[in-house]
Amino acid sequence: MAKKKNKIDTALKRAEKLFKTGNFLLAEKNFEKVQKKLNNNTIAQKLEICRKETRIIKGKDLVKQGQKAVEKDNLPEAIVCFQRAEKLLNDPWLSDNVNELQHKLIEHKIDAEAREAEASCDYTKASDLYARAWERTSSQDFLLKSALCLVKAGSYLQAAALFDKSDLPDDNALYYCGFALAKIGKHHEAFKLWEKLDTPDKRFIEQKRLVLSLACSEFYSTFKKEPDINEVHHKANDLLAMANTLDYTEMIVMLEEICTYCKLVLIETLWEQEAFADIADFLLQMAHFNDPAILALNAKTYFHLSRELSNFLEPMMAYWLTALYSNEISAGFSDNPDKREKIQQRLIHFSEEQINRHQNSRSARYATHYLTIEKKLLNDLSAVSRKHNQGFNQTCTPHYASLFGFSDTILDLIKQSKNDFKDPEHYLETGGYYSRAGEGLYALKTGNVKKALALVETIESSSPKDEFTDYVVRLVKFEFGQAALENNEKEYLQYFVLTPKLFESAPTIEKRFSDKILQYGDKQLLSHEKLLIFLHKERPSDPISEACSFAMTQSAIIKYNQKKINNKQLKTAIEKSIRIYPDNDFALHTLERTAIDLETEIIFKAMNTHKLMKAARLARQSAYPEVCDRYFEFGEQMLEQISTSGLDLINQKIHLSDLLKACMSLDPYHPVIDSINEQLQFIGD
Amino acid sequence: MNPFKILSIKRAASNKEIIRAAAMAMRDRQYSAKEIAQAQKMLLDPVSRACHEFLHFIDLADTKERLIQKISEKSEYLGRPETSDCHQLKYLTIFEKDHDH
Repeated sequence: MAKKKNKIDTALKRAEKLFKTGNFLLAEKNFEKVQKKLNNNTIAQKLEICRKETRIIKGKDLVKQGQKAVEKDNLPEAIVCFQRAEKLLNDPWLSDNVNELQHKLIEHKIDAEAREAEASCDYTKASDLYARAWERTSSQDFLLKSALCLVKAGSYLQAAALFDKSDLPDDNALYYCGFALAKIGKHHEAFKLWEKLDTPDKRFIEQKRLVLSLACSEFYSTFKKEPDINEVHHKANDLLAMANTLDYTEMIVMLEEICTYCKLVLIETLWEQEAFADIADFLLQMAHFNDPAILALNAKTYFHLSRELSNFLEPMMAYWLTALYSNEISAGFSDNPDKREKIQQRLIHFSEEQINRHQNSRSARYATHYLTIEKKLLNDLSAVSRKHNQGFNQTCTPHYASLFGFSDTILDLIKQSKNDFKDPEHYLETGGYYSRAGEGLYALKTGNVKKALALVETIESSSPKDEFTDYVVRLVKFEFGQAALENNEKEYLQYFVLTPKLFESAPTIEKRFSDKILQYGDKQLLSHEKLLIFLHKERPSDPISEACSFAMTQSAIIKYNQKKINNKQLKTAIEKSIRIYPDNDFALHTLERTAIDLETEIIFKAMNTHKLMKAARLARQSAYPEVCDRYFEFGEQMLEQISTSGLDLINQKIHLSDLLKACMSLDPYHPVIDSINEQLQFIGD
Repeated sequence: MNPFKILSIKRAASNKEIIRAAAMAMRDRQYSAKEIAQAQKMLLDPVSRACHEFLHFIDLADTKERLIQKISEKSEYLGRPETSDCHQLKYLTIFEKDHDH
């Protein structure tokens, strides 16, 4: 009996211990054994706790098993686990989860069936199944799959309707949606979608071209009937942008023309409203459309705009003269050539008035320069074009020629008319404005020599060159070099390397330069001497030789006056300058004076050392009468010095006799001799 | 100033019409007497009138006509089979995820 009791106690103790440590499963078994014997209320309560806790543990285990089954995509097992767990735990979440998994299971089944149908190319069935799945789940994925299957089944209208409900999440959806739209005739919309796809695949690019051409065809069939020109313009612009993405030349050209047509219609209304700024916006978009009416429109629009705002003067100048000198436009002024010219001149005067309204602005200064340059250019070109009677009807400004590709034609006209120009400089300058260096020449002639140099330096590296471009490059460097010289830049000679060729091609420039040098003062001559010697070495032409010789003479005199060189050095320098230009009268005269000074100096030295006869001989040998005059002047001075020297009479007589002898040997009839004789007689024997 | 606008006359108005329009404009008093007189003077002088015709009128009819002609010529291209047959459009699979690029 006692042994039995001990066994129960031991089991109870074990059960209590397991209960305390939370091992409810084993605790429950031990409590059950004890309860059978004891039937105790406390144990019954603990037993109940153990059972409850055990259910929770089992339920949690089942949830874990269910989750693992979901992860393994084993939905039937997961559903069983969650259902059992629900019975144990009685948690509403589990019920929802079971429902959700059951739905998923069905969807999986539908999806599998749909895939199977799709694999066997039964796209209609597949689409229906995906649509069912989409209805059950509202999943965009099923919606898209259904739409894609409809496309594959050829049901484009229904497909497009489904795609319309989709947010088209990827390239594939975009492509198929565009495809369905193209198939139902919505080519414009289709292309819009396909624009978002970036692939180099040639087949796709071909499809885009086809769809675009269909969109254009559709647009073309309606564009003349569409009453709202703004709408037509908008669509044409849209299609043009699309065509540009494909480099679809045929379409681009046609659409550009349609766009231009629309703009012209719109401009007609805007002109009535005097909305010139809006017109200018349109004109900017048609900048490369060469047509007399558009040229005139540009000129007039910017003319009106420049009335109030000076910044429109520059674009006005780009078109104004070209428009007025255009044969097609000016023919509309009058049939009478005299009246036509008067109208042209009056309109030019209008533009001058317009420029004068903005006198102080930079644009006005620019426009004035341009007007002056271009008036002359167009007058000259009109004259040579008339003379050659070549049927050349596009006399235009360099800017306009460049814009519309007429530069070469105009340069050809200039070359053919070479002899009609005043001189080579006139010929080269006219061509220079139309050459590739034209902008540089404009900059130079409008006083911006630095900009001119920068512009021609970019041209220099590119080839091929022509005589006009070469001329501008040389001229710009020559002018820049002169500015550098005036600014005392050390390396200025580099800019004159091409100057000999410039002078050779345009001797009038050389003559002007030489004449300018001859007018220079001392300081400028000194600074130009080195340049002139350099130029003379490269090109010993008459004008350069004259200027160089003049500068060398002046420079030598300046240095002599500053006592930097002596008479001898002066003479050598002047002789050198005369060798460069033998007709340098100034140098010749200076040389003579220098020679006289030099000889006089020697005679004075001889006389000062009482070598009177030697001095007289030198004077006699001199080619210059002035030297003899100087000798006698000195003789007179000596006569006076002897008289007032305080020497005794004998010594005075000796000196006077020497002087008389020397003077007699030079010129026995010179009045000084009489004076000496008088003095001798005065002293007496 | 636009003398045609001030006198409310068309481009082709005769000298008589100009003088009459000036008188009307004086009565209307929309513009000052000086402006009206200037406008009349501008239009009665043939050179000045031609200048103002150039400045204040545009004629784009010929340009538009030429453009329409060009567009019509080019539109023939749209009727060719390679540019107008939608049936030749077959769907591509290049954008599908499992497509081998």
